[in-house]
Amino acid sequence: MNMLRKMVASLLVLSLPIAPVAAQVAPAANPVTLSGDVKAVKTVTDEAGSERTELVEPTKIIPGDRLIFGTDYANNSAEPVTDFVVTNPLPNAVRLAPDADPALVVSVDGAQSWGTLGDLTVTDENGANRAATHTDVTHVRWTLPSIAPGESGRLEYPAIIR
Amino acid sequence: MNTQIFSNMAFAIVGATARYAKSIASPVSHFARPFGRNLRNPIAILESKLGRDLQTSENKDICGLARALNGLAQNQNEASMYTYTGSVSEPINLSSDHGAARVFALFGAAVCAAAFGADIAHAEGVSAGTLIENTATATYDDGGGEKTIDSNTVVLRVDELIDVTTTSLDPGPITTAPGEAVLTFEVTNPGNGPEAYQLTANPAVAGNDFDTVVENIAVDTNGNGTYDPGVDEILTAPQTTAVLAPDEAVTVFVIVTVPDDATDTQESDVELTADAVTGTGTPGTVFAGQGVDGGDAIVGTTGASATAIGELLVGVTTVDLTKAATVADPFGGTNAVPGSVVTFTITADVSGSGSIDDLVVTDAIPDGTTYTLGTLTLDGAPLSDASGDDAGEASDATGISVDLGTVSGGTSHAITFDVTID
Repeated sequence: MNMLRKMVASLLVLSLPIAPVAAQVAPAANPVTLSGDVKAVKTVTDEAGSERTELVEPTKIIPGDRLIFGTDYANNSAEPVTDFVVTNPLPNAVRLAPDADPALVVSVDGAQSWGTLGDLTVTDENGANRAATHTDVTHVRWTLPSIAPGESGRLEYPAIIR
Repeated sequence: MNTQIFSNMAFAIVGATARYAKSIASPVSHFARPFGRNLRNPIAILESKLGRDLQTSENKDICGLARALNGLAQNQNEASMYTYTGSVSEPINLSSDHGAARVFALFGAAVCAAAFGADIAHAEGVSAGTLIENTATATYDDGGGEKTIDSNTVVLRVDELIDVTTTSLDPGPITTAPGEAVLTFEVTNPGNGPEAYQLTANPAVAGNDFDTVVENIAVDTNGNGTYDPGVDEILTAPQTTAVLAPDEAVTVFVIVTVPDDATDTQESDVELTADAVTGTGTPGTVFAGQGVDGGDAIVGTTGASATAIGELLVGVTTVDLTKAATVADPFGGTNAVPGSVVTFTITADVSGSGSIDDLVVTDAIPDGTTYTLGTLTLDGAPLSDASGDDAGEASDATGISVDLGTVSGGTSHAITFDVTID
């Protein structure tokens, strides 16, 4: 990947128009279904005074709030599917949470190149390379070699509203 | 004879006079923020890189931004071309070749934020009303080739966070005499939505040596950081700022009257409180439906209320004159007889925390005596008798006059001159 291509990719991703709000329903004939949801992580203090977190419907969200974006997948067919790759662009208004799984495969250049965050670098405004950080992440990706018939699962990433 | 002389001397001692203009240190009022707070704003970053103002009325268009980017790219010998559509109020589409992309890469997310509705423009958070939309896409092989499906798109709208900060812009206590004094504050909207703030000035702060009277609250209409009567708008009750955009700040002046009985070195604080008009409360308080686009407004960590303190220090400077005389008679004694030389010493003691301008000390030559030419001194240094050549002048007819200029509190100055008893 040369630097120029990375930059162009970055431009393209950041300039993606906002998608229509209407949900896109997968065709019924499709053997695989994807279902997205989002929860807000709220810290609550119980009667004993100790704090714990719980997932709530994100009815009220403000900058700094923590969200969990989830995608449920299922193979409803009688046949296995292979090379199952789920790609999720991060909305511009959120950043990947710092405690995201370090093994999560991410892109910091608009899905042009991929790796774990520790292996990636970005070019800063002075033209110098630096290690990529969670705020640089543009996409996350999960790869499953195969899904057996009837198998389902869930993929999640944590994000914080910028 | 002796009695008469001393009577004259006594008159002369109380007759020394001082004229002066009172000088009080002016409030320091330079609050220029060349980029300051706005440096977080990507447009401001761009401006600093380009060296031009993109936010004045003639430049406040995205076309100007794109042209500026083009110019930058050309300066760097990069072939570049932008096309742009849309206007200030609409999202724009930028397309570019590699040169322009390089410019974008240089400025990174900041430029994109500037160009695409400032989704990430605010250091304090994305704008209220911003939609967060998340869609996952899967590719797989079901044995019949690669297929692609999208998940549904989940959409969240960012609610409005109401916050406020208030800061005193005075560099320290404002030194003032009884009368009008101006305290300067800054009110900032650190929230992510537009908000106006109601202002309250409280002159009765615990610990005050005296309380001032709040006359007015004004906003810095011309943006020069200094209160300009007749120019800067005085707010009418309930004193409320204009609606401030996220990260926008306004300079506010609190004009107070210091009472006449305030004495030197006394201190007084004035509090300025800014309360969000939407409402205040403990962090997390929700004002349903009162945010941007009908979303909720939620009180942030500041409680949507912030108070800053401005300090006043009274500087009253006074001059006390004392006059003393020593007598040397022609016989080596100290008797006041004809021919005796009387040396007068006028001491000007300046007290207080300020300074005094144009202090002039004058005295008459007592009846029955004659001024001894060339004996006028100030702080031990001789002054000529002629007028206009130095700080002093002296003659039998007009007496002595010494211009001390500006003198500071805590200093003392001595003037001497001799007379001979007739």
